[in-house]
Amino acid sequence: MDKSQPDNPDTSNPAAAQVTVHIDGEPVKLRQGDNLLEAMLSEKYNLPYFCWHPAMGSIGACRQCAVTQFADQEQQKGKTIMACMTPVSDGMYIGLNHQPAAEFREQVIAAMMTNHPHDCPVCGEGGACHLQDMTVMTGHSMRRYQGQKRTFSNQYLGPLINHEMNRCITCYRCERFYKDYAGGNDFSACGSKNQVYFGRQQDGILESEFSGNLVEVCPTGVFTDKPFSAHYTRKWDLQSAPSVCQGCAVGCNISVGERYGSVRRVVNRYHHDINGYFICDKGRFGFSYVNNDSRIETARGIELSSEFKPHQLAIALARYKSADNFGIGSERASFESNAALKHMVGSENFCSGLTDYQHFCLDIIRSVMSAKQPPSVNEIEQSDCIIVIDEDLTQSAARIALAVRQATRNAAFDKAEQLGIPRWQDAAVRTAGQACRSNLFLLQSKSSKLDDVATYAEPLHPAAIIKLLQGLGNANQPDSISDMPFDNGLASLLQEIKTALQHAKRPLFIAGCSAWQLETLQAVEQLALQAPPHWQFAFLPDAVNTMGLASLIDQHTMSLEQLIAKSLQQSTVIVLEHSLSTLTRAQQYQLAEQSQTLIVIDHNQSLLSELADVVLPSAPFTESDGSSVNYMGLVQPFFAVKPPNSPIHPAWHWCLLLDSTFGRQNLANITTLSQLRAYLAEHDSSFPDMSRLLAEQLLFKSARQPMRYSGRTAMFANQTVHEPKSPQDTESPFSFSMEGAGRTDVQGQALPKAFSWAPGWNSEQSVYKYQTRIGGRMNHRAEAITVARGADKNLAWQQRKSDTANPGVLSFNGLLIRRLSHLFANDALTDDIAEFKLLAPVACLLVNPADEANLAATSATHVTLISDDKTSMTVRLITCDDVARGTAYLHHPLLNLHNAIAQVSDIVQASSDDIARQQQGQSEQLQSILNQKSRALSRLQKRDQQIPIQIVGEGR
Amino acid sequence: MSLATNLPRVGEGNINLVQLSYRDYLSVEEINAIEHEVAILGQRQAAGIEAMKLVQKNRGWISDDCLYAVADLLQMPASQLEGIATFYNLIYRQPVGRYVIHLCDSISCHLTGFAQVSEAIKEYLGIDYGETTSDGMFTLLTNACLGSCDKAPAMMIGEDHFEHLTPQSATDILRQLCAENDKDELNLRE
Amino acid sequence: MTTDKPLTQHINQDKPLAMPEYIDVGGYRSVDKILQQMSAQDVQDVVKDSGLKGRGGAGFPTAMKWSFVPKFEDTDPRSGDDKYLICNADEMEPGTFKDRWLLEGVPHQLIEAMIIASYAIGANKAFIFLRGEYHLAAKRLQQALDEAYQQGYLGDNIRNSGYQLDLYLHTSAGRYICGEETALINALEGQRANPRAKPPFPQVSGLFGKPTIVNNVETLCNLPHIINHGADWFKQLSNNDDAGTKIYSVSGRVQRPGLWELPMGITVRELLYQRAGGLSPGLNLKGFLPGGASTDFLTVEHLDLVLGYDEVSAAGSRLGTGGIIVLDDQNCPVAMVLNLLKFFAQESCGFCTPCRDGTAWAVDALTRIEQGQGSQQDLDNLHKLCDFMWLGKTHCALAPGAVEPLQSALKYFHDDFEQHIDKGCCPYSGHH
Ligand SMILES: Cc1cc2nc3c(=O)[nH]c(=O)nc-3n(C[C@H](O)[C@H](O)[C@H](O)COP(=O)(O)O)c2cc1C
Ligand code: SF4
Ligand code: FES
Repeated sequence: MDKSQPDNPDTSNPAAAQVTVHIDGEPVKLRQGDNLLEAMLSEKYNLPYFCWHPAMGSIGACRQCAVTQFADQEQQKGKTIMACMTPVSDGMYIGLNHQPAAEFREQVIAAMMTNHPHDCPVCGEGGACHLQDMTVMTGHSMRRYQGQKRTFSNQYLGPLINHEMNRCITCYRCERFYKDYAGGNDFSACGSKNQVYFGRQQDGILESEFSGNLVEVCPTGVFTDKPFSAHYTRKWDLQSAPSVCQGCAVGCNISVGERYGSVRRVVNRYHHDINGYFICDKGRFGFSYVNNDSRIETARGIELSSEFKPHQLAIALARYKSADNFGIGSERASFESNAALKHMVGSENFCSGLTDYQHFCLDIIRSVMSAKQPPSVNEIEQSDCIIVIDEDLTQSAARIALAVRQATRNAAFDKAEQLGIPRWQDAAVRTAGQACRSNLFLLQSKSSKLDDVATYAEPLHPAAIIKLLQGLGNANQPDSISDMPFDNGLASLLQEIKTALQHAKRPLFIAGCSAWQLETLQAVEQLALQAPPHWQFAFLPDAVNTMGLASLIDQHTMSLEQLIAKSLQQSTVIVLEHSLSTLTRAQQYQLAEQSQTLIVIDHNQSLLSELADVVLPSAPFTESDGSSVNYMGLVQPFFAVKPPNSPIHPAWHWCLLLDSTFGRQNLANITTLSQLRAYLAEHDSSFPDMSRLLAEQLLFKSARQPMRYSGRTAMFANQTVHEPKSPQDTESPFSFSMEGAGRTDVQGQALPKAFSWAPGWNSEQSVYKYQTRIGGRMNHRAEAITVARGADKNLAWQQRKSDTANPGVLSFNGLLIRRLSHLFANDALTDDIAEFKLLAPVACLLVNPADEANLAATSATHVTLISDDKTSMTVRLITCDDVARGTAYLHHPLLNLHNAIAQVSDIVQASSDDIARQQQGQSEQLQSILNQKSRALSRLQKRDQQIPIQIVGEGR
Repeated sequence: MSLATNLPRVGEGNINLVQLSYRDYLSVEEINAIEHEVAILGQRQAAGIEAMKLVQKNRGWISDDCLYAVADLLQMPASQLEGIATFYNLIYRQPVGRYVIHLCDSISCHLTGFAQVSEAIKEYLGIDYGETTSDGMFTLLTNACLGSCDKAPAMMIGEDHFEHLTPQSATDILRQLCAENDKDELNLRE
Repeated sequence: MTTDKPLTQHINQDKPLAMPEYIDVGGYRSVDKILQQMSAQDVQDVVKDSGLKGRGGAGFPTAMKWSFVPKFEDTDPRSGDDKYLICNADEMEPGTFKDRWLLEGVPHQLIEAMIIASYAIGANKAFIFLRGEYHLAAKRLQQALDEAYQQGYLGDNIRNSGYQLDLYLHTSAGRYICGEETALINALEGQRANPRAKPPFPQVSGLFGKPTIVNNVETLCNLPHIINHGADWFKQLSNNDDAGTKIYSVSGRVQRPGLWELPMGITVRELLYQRAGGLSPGLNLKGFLPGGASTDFLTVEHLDLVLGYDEVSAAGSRLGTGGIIVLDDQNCPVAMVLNLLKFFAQESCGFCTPCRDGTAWAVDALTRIEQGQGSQQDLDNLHKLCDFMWLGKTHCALAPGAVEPLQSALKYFHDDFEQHIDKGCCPYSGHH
């Protein structure tokens, strides 16, 4: 069990009693008050269902989960009931295999099949289809209906989701997820009778950041993964590995699927405490940079054969040897890679890759984490009063936003409970609850997608937010807060929040780092350190492994500024999977020119990699094992879905290989990841012993390929008739093959699942077979390991703090100009994903109408931002009053690549030339995205025919 | 809907966000009538059906623009209103003729000569169910039981109910409507 | 002055009584009586004693339904919460037109009745949910409502009693399922009219999640008379154990189709032959639906059946709405069932699988049989579908309602189905 987290068996009925129910004559203990379907599935019965969903409860629409309820043991005849709509009560007699109920279940499928097309062979869901599974389970095999099928036309729903309405079985899950659960408002059920249509009001991009979940929520092939469909493989032909989403600091668990050397898709991998059943679209579709032609596949700057030996590398690099070696770590590189780099160059020469300012902020976060254990996503969902501080969660940590949305329903659950309505009665709870919501205060400077469920969501100036936080911390002077300019009614808001906090049982503050605003974080820290014990605090750093990196920072660790300030003429600088986008272009050039040698280890090209003397190709998360540390400090391992293609190596491996040339030779004898981990655990106090998570399980290999992985012997037949040997994976508990019984014993089961499957359950729904109960933890889950908590204040940083300003924020004429946070345009890697570039906003500046006058560009459509160094940037001007007065938000794709505009000296109405150029640029950009998309696809398809044998040979 | 959370996207292509303000589209009378309904029900979105009926009364049918305008006024997503509009029989989401004929096809009418009346009307108008005559005068629809079972067959045109239909009387009624319409037009022209 | 036709004695189809005339004939007396002399509980008690059962189709005891509305202690924060009364005037069941008669003929009676019911359950807001096609009823009701407001029978402080009631007319946008009480509530909330799951029952969580009572027009219209004349009087109106009168109707090819208010518990024969004059010349009785489209067929052998809730159930059908639909021997029973099933398939809300796909499947099979292209397989499918869509297996009672005429037709008119299949054509064609 997870010791670091109190085991609060959470969501429903914690105190529910176990009662005895007789199922087909066998007594079984079930939880009283659960719905019978959920309770029976928890006991691993095979009972088909469609409309019920573990996270969304029951509505009783599909009538698939019918069983017989008998009045007593003797009674032969009983009545047919819907398990999902029936609460478990003591002494029930239930017939699961009772003939009439079984026949009825078959009839339900037969009825659905009156309209469902016979297109399984061309359907993207085939082989992973809940409807197929249930059809087999109910034994429906003979078609009795002789009439015609209804036909629908489909909609264009954007670049991520396909729509094929003819396959719909009208279970209403899509609508319930999209609209009721995720709060989307561009989707609904239309029509009626056997013509119910699920879609948008008209064709167009689905607006929700969670639209990808439709793919899994839909039990058939109406909504399918569009990029996956474009380069498709059956689920049974996918080689899969358990992984962790690299999109943000939440660390949602995912399963990655690969075929013929390219990664095809990502699906949710259930994790009780974190993502549950859902991930955001960034997580599902944000991997495709690993397939791109921007991938670095060979070494540059040195002569190196792909099958090089370590000493050959040393020889090739010999000429770059220099007096000093510095390493720059990164928030997106794995915990192991960062630690390896640090140990290679030594603490004194390790730079975090973060700015001073980021260091200060992280230090605060760590200090709060040591005082207050951050809540899991699941715990966030249980909160009854949430205060979000200056962070657009939907754009920076979307999964958390989804949890916050659910948390606002807690008041409605309570109200329903008073009326005797169980929380799984989804529609009834919504009816009884009406607009009744738990408190959610959004202290933000710009509207966000949670506004519709918020108690308060008016845009506030960041300074006002700080004032409020200070007011909250100040119990002695309850109402003493002077109104800020621009922000009226602050005092009454403060009072409202205070009252809400007094009544709340599980209040929660969530702050984030997308603005890296030190004063705000300081104010939260103040509050946290004197808060009552039941107040919870969650901070969301901005990248997948920020907390892992942060825990490696010690008093010697340098910031980027400190490193740059050094004279590097005699130095080799090794940059680990980092594009240094917080630097300006000029600074990047300067770094490259100044340092004697610049070595970049990365998997995708960046400006920095172009400037580097040596580029070493690293393996992205899909091709390497490693771990990352999420916002809670939870260490989560991820596993390669395919071996890297030599000379690509995991970044940590490059660090080992470089040690002899640029390091301190401490890592000399280490060649494998488990050796590295063992070394680090022994030599670095911040690196945990992960053997609990991993090493024990090495004995039990588990297959990455499902049992039906087909055509393996034919895969390379166009190149060789000899079936190449499967690559060996000596590192992880997984094999690159169908071999590996795994799973049967306790430890095998404790392994994360490479893919979801259980006998009779080919769809993602099979996860229930591996849960302690529906919606509970996974069986025999390995113990959780957390780091980054309990750290003392890092005094070295405290001293440097005084005079630094936040380099990420611009100001002009009293206007605070912040970077716009956007899920699909938050980091450099999103720039390699065509679909995301289509979904990203156009380059723009958002200002409040009242501030427009300040810009000397009244009623302009476009403005140009000019800086002292004469760089300029033309963007669309959008005035809207859902941005706080005194703040503005800037978006430009370049900002993800480097600090494209370091300060603003003027903002003027854009000249018609500038506008023309900007628009020209934009349409060229669009064209190039589309080209990129089709080029990438055809390249991958071509590669399917000519897979480099080395992929499957000895890969590492 | 807030602008800052719904920014134009790079790849929006030619599918545009609908930005229609109810003020530009609905008449003051319509707005007042809808607001009255809102006041009765106490919830804005609850008035959706009634609002569409009101607007349809003036405009014949619910065009996309009507839908957006009503959704805007009631502060609800257009897709949700679409879901409602397409559920109910008496809301037309396609253009209809000046007179919409609702011919009862339920059981008592069926037993007492619906088929012949139906044939006669179809032949007279030259259209089938769901269609509108080319001159835009008539749309022919069926209707569930009109509650005239003792005076079957029956039909409803606009707010008028006609009972005890025969093929002859039914076509006569339509003929008369045409004549009245012509007269109206004449009057208008004069 | 008492009457044996309390519901319809003041009906005037051409020009209903205006408020003063209605008051002159004793109207609204019951309102004064309850406001001055009776507590809400008193009203509930009288209605309970009267034995009034719902006339909307299910025959559920009215007072018992009311008693499920939670009675909060004054200290309970929910005691001040809204409660609602809704009159179900969505009459759309084929072959049923009784409510229309009451609505158009004597609208004030319904308003009077709704004041009583609202008072009894403690509601301050009430709605008449009227089907959209009843334009004349809408006009007359609205006028009556305006009058009642003017005369102080609606609004704040009714008749200086301190009781306040707002009563609104809401017209539907057309959908049979809106007659189902929880679907009706969804429709009133401006949503898609899918029925809600029960429990929770609307008496606990109904309109906008608040306690809500839905009663049929005819049910409600009995209330003023029960208040005025007492429970015993009401009970003795009937011929059987069901109290009161019933508005029966007959449609189909009979001599005098129409409506009659008669004592509960008359026989089919009396209704069909004495009132409706028997079948039209040259036709013989083949069968009939006793209470609207969603009841089981009965046949000639049931002519002496007593039309009461229990009696009709015992004969294998339901009293339903009391609207008899007559099938003569020249109309094809298969075509009749097809027509009924088309209605149900058309009006299915599309929420649950058995109804959504089952009714459409039945239509498909019936169409084939009726057109002479059917097979034994179609017939088997129909039998299976009857079981598939039966009570408890669907989300609401619409589909089981569709099953009733289908299953009974398969039973009583089995030969007709077989003939269609054997002959490859409809043996009645040319006649229907
Ligand atoms: C499909 C369906 C349609 C219904 N239609 C009506 C109707 O039009 N009018 C009506 O009063 N009750 C109708 N009912 C019954 C109502 O649900 C409800 O039982 C009734 O209004 C209760 O009133 P009562 O207790 O006064 O009979 C219908 C039920 C179903 C299942
Ligand atoms: S039985 Fe099911 S589909 Fe039919 S009307 Fe009722 S809920 Fe809707
Ligand atoms: S799962 Fe129970 S009715 Fe759909």
